[in-house]
Amino acid sequence: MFSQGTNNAPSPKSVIPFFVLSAISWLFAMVFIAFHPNAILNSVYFNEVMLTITHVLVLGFVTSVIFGALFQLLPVIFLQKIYSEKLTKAIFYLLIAGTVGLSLSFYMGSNSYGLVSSGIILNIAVILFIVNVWKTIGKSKENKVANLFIKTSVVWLALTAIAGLLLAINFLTPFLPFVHLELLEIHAHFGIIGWFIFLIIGVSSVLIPMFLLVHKLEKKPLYIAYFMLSAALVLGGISKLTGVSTLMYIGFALGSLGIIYYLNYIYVAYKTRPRKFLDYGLKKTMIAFPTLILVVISSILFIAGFKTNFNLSAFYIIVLIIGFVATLILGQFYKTLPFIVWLKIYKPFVGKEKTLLPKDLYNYNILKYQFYSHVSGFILFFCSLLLNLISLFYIGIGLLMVGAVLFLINVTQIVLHKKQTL
Amino acid sequence: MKINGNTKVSKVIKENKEAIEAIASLNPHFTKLRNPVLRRLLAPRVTLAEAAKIGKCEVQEMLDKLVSIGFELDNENNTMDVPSPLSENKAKDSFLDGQKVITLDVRPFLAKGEDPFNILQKALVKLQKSEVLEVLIDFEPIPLIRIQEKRGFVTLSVVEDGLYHTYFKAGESGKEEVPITEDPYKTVSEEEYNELIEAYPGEMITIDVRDLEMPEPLIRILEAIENLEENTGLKIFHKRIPQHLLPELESKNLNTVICPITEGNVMLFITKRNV
Repeated sequence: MFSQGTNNAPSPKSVIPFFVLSAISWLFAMVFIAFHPNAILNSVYFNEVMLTITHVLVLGFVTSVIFGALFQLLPVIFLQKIYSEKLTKAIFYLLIAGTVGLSLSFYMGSNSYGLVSSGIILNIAVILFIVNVWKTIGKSKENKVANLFIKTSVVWLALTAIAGLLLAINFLTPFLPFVHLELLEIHAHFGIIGWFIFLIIGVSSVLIPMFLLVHKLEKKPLYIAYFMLSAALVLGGISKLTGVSTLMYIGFALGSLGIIYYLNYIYVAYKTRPRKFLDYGLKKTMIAFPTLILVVISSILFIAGFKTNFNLSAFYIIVLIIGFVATLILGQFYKTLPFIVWLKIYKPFVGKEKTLLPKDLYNYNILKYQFYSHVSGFILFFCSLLLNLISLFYIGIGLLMVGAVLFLINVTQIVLHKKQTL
Repeated sequence: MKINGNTKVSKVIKENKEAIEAIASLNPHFTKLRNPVLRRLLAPRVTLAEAAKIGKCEVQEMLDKLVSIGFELDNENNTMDVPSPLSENKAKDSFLDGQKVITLDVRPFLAKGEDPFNILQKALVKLQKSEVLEVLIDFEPIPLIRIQEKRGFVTLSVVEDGLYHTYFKAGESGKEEVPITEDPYKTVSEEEYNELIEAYPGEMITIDVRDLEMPEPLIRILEAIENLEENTGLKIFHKRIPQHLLPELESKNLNTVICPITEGNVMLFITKRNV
């Protein structure tokens, strides 16, 4: 009875808000895109609407759910208790304030005071997040690869946030000794590759084999991916700051190879899985991975100087966010959120009575339709960008929007679930 | 079963539940043994001789009582001497010399049936240099003393008007970095695990949850535990150390042994704790 606190799981109350913010941001972003076709199809892609959408997506949708999911998953992956739940709550409020502030500031003509103050808020959130993650993982000996990737990813997040703040300050009073677009590209790549991709590789290296019930997997490709992607980001950063473009080419090559190594790891897990049947949550997770091939191809075409109607450097970033990151997240939502709510509501009754399962907390048919509308939506959306077809754009974004609405219906149903007896 | 002053109370109770009533009837101090929280707190860590001291009765009296319900006396070394940590006032004065005393009365918590350990733990963490924590309790808290001594605390117990005053202060070497206490589960090597399984006298149920998606392993295991007979052991093949299951096992007061073999392969062995 000497309680040791083996209960490492965080309170659902500190985790669920991140998921809700994420689901709402996703729908909001899709609606917002639909109302601003010109801003997207326009070749000048660093416009204010695009920046607004990007930050709603990367902060409100992606970063929020990553924060929430990490606070849930770190205890499971590293067998540690979350360092501080108070920090977790503070991070949520700072993140939501920073995201709303930043998006509004961008939309209202890139108001530099708004950008700087939101940037400061977000930097505080990031610092608190890093403290919470590093302190939580601590000296855990579990899952070394995941440990490496996750700890590194939060460092990239910090660099992204700092670069973002510098850009905002530069808006207010220009001080950068070089063109701010260079720093903007560093900011974008550190955020999307360094933060999202490193984190996703870290978490998925544990979760994907777990869901596919694969036991022993060779981790070496992941270490190779780690060094290649890290080198790619460092070289890319140096190239932007020094203007030595050769480094950027090497960076792109290494980055592409790194992603291929990671894809191979996932492919092996997928091929050797003993569990053949995949539910739609997992289908949606797995279908995210082939889009990475499109990312690699379009980034290679871009670096080779290939010209299309749509700027390829913006294209591969969009595919990365909407094709890969978003699809993966929308799939994994169904593997995490229902489980968190289920643990809260049903765990005390397990064994004593028949209980519902996490998958009973949402409507499976809605998930199925969400899967089809989302996947067909992003395929058509990407085609519309490359072909510059406004009609296709509306169909694509319309389908994505339908998917987002269906998604929000299911999320609401999960979050508001009340105990039922069988 | 042969008993003597060195026999752990838990073993005695495990052997024969009547022992609880037999000991409790000795004098009012032992009625606490009927309280399951206190029983779990004390029984596994205290020998009969120590228990007699806590209850302020003679060891022989307790042994006789147990013999009367069917235990055999192990005559070889029943005269074992219990080192008496009860000290004179002098010892107390020198112990407290130059120290600030912070008093913690844990009796209200015990009365409510709560485990005083965490409260004590928190108070000890806050303890500054040249401060002494005074714990007021109805009996000498031998298990608490042992754990804290392992962690580098120096302790002293004094009885005044039937109330135990146990003092804790940081030892000379300072607090050692010993984990807060032993875990509610034991992690063992594969060899130890296999020995344990082989030596287990009761029946055994084996379940393999490696090929199930969460939360089904959790459900299967908790269901199996719910139907677990008193003397049946539950052997589990798992993919990982089950984070969501451990607190449940703890609250159900089960004996849990975990043996991580390789990544993706963990064996667990769960039995009901008879104490």
